[in-house]
Amino acid sequence: MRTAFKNDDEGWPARPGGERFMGDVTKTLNAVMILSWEADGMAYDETFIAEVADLLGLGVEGIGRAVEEVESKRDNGTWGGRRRTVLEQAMERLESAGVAGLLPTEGPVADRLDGLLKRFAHDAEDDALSAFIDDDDEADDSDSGDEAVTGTADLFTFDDASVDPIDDGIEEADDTDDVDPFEELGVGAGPPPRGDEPRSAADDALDALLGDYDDDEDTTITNALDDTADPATETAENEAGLSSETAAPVQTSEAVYTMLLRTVWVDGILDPAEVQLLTRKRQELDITFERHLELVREVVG
Amino acid sequence: MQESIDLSAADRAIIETGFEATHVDGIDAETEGDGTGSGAARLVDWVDAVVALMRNRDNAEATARALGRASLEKGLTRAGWRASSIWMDALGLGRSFAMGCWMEGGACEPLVTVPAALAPVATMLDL
Repeated sequence: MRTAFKNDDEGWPARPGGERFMGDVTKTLNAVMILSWEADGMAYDETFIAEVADLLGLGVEGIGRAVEEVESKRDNGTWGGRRRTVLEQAMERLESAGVAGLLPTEGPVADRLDGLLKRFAHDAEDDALSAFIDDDDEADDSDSGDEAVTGTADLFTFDDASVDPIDDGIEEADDTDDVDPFEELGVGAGPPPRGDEPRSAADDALDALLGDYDDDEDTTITNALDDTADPATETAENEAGLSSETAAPVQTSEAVYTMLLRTVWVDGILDPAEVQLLTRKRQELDITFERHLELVREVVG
Repeated sequence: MQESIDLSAADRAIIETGFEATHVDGIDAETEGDGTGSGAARLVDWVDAVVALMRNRDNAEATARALGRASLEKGLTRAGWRASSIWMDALGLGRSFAMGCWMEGGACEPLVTVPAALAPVATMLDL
């Protein structure tokens, strides 16, 4: 089992040379927001995100950017059919941030992060168990069932030396200590997926969230992760993702703006800098002042 | 006053009935209650102040906007916004006040004095 956020002395290293890039902190905030949001299912924990942003040295604008990026790409939690991959990457990011010293490994925030990691690690275990049960009766001689169990379980055993990963892609990933996991997953940068497949909504989403790193052609882990996914679930999530792509842009803009409204008041006080940010966002998102007031009433009451 | 704040007869009836139920009933005419305008003398004074403010609509709107801006610069809480915007809406100054709070519409004159009619709002906003 992957160790939790606290006391994790391995995991992902800091960026080469230990330098702390702005991209690292913004991606870390995105990762925390993704997990917080998906844990709740409806919204992220505003207070908690504000605390994390503060620890990362990001202000309200940083939170606003994260809200905008995550909200616009999460497709109601389906992430264009790649929810599992996104969650796993977010977990990796959190562990990396802890190791790199971007986030505390003790105290209330660490406890919350720890809880999020355990929560989603537990979900993955359940997925693995389900796959095992489903495949047990019909696939005694089939490799696919075993792969599903082992492959998924391996995703959460990076720190367990007793486990000998069967999946080559994942094993390779374990041996690769000097790369950014998001780059390795091939979803944070420009190159399209292997072959001629069109880029998915999730690829675009993660490009937006993580796209400031260099391209990396190694998509081994991506493929390994994809192999562990339940095809039925993937199909359903893809359909959901496609349907969400046709949603009215106005609704998306207003959803983003509404999240921003909630965020600026997360500390209980609205100040001129926050209002200026909202003014800019209204212009960018083409939201009228009257509509803004309506949304404020919805948020504040 | 009803005309100056563009209040319909039906809305006025609702407001006055509510006010009587929550503020006037049980209050001795010689004493003053807790709410703004509670107590006959204070109520008359406040109504006069509102009428005076509304005589110059442009000035009232500019003052409302300045009040909103001042509240933002001090730090506007959710509760403060909620209560004050309801109050200002009731006076027909909600939009101007909101423009000040949300820095809409360009430059805004600073708040020099708070008219008596808006004193309750200033109190809500800790100004």
